Amino acid sequence: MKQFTLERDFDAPIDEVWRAWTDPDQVGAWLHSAGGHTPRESIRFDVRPGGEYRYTMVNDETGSRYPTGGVFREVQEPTRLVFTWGHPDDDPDAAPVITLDLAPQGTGTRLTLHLAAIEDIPDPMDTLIRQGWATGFDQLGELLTGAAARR
Amino acid sequence: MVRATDELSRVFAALADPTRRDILSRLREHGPVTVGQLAAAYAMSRPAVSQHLRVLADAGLIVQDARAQWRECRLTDDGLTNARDWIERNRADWSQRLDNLATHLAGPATTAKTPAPPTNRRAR
Repeated sequence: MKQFTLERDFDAPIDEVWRAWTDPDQVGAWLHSAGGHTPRESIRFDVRPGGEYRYTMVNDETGSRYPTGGVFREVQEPTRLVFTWGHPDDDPDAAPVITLDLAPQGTGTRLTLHLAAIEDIPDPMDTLIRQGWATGFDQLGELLTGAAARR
Repeated sequence: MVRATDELSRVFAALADPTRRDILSRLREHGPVTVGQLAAAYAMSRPAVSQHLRVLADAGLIVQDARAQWRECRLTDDGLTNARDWIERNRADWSQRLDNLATHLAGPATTAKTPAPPTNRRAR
């Protein structure tokens, strides 16, 4: 099963943590991978059940673009946010789903993030091609071994 | 031996182009994509992208799945490896983002963040 849960405590009140996830002016500041940034103009957030969101992360070095988007499934401010997550063109029903649960924890907030993917049905053609590639790779290995032995 | 040499040449030809290397890297890091998504990412025409994909597919490096998405062809691609890799990759990515979030929440850029005096706990 392609799923996992992350739990993290933040030293901020629950409404601030909620806003960091749902305010388009804040999301870009932190929602990117290492070596990338998310331009504000790429961010659209319609935070309501059925509403869409999107943003694009840009690789700092190469400039190549990684659009991300999805649909909100549940919006219960400030304790629960459920949304699909993938490429904006993906069918939301097939996209992975992120579930955020927020709870006050002392003066801070405990965030639980659960990410689950819809399982792919394997394509029989994939298996045939993989087997073919595996054979080719074995022969590549022999070829390289032979070349090394002849030196 | 001739067949293996041909395959080797196709792999090297496929990897000789920086855009094709970037496409492979993108598939590895971010999962399957369509031609349209690649065309947008590289600001390239679809025929130009398709040409790159054909070279990569002929070399046996990528394959198209049931949903017309291109994905990396892996040597030992059983379901368990797939799931494990997916989990590792995404867990690491999201853990990094939550680190970023902690920094963002703590930093001066956060609006109206003044430390609450100990006697002034907010009731929730």
